[in-house]
Amino acid sequence: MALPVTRINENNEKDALLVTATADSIVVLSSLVKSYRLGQTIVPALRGVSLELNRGEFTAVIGASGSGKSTLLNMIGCIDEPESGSIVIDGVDVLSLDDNARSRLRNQKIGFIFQSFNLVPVLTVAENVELPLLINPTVSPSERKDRVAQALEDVGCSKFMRNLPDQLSGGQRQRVAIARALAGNPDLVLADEPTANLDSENSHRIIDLMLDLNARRKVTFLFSTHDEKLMGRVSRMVHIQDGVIKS
Amino acid sequence: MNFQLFKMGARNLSRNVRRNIATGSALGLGFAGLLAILGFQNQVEHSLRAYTVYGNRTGHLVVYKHDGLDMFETRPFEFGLDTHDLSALRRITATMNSVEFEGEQLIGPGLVSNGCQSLPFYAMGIDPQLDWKVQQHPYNLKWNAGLTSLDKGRELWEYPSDSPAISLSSGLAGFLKKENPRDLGEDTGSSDPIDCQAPDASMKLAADPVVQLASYSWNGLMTGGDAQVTGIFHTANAYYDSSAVRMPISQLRKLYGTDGAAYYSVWLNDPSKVDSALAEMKSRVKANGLNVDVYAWNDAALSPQYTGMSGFLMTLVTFIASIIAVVVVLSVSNSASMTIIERSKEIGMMRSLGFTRRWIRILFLIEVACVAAVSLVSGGVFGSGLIWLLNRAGFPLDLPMVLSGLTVKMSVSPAIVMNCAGSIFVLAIGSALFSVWRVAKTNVATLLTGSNH
Repeated sequence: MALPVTRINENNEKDALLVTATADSIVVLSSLVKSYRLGQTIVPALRGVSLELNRGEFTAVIGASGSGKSTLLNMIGCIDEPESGSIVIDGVDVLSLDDNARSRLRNQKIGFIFQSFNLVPVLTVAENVELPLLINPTVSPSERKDRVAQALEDVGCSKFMRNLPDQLSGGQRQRVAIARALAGNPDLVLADEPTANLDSENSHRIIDLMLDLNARRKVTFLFSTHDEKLMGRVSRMVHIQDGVIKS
Repeated sequence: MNFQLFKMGARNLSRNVRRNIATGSALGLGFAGLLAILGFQNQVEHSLRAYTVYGNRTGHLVVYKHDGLDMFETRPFEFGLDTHDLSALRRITATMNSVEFEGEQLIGPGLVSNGCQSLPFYAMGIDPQLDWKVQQHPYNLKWNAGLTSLDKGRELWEYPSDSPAISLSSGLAGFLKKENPRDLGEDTGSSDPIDCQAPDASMKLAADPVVQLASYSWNGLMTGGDAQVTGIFHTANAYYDSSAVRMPISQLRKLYGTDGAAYYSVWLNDPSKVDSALAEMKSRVKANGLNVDVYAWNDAALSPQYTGMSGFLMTLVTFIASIIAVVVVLSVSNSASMTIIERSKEIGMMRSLGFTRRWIRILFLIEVACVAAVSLVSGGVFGSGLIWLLNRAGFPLDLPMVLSGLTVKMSVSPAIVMNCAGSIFVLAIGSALFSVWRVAKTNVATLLTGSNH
């Protein structure tokens, strides 16, 4: 399937670009434009971004702060809307969905990992991992328990399952967050600077873990980072600068 | 709904204990306050109702000759019920299933004398057996207990219905120095005229229970007769306490030279069905061609004292309840807003995990419902204790034109508890929902940055 789209170049001119979507495509973005209002100023965040991600890829989005990495991930994660362009996730035109359908899509197809872990402090590790499964009607209570146990085992946190997040180190918390993202068996995991709050050693461990899960579970990973030490470890890099994909 | 989400909502309460305690206290105290004020209203409302319907012998329905309510006192012959009216009314009420008991009453003015001094009176004549049914009615005994029995002496219904017994209000008895009622048949002493200037005149007047009554008959002729004071009672109203007189209707009819009555009262089995009984009564009197007016007991024209006090009380209660509602709404919405601001990132995280707006609202409502439930239980216990203490303390309640002796009392029924708890709960949930509605609609990416406020 060929999708004709346009892209805005560095000179703010529209370029014709052809994004080819195949059966292996999990994400197809076409000409995404997004800007934010900062007081009286309109700040462009994405300027005609087109991108295709294939199933099973392990991709890093790199770029300086404010380059549009997080905005790009937000678009793919269906938690923000572009002013123009199209987003297709697993063959579904996301922008045609209502809020409930997008929530369902996020719940069943996308896993999120955040920079600051975002674990619920009053829930145990196991309960945090179980959270997205509670609202998934296709998962029975017994299957829920199995999936939580499996996800925690995959990230090496089984022994902490009854602990509260406050009792864990930063690296351990991020592992739990990864387990939560994986518990729903998503096709795509999005991680917004997952190592930004971790030291170097833990950062490498988290990337190793994500690589391992990518290989074993065949889950597509897309994460943003500006940590250059991690860049050599990914199969694909998307370089974004001033809201435009450079390479 | 998933139990785990309830568990999470309940556990979230531990995240800001002080704030939740403050919110819960506002809810609990609001609940206790509502219970107290509505308990007070309930007590006063029932007391007023019992006093009007039973204590005042008004009945649930009252039938006057057409325009008799306004005109009877000045022109009783024209605006009183005659024997034809009374017979027809007895026939009508005899076939109404809603009627518990009924009967005519006669009222009117006159002069009562102790031989030395004459004072105006206003008499009520009622069949003593009917009076017994009215005064001993369980509703009257429950809510009007202080006015159901005589201060001294014997009740009229303890004597034959045509006996010359009379009960005086305490003020009138005091003025006439007839404060020692005697049983009929007891020796009343010498019947010689009393020398009103003699030093022992007061003692002799007190020892003699007989009084002389004088009035005009319905035909305008001077009439008179003797009666024996057999009881002393007090009224709720200071104005009537120096003039009220009760006697068997047969005696008052003799005084006024009539077989008629001022009005015909009907007491119902089920007071909640006054409207339907009123409609039925109106329909039947019309069908019988009677030229009468039928009133419900709570008609402002018939019972202005009841409607006035009840209306004032309702205004007062509504005002206080409104203040409580505002406090509850502000407390909950303020607390919910602060919690939402603090947890916007978490809300964003949950939205990104797939929680819909509805789920986010439900989660916050679970938290508020938990706070409200605990607060209502605590407030209920506190309120019950407070009401018990206030009832026992017996704080005096001084109302204009109402005789002293009343105390502040509160009577809380299960319906009041349920209504108050339900109202507070709905207000709390509504306030929280109002606060969480906006945040649930906020863009998820904005929530995740924590900059939605």
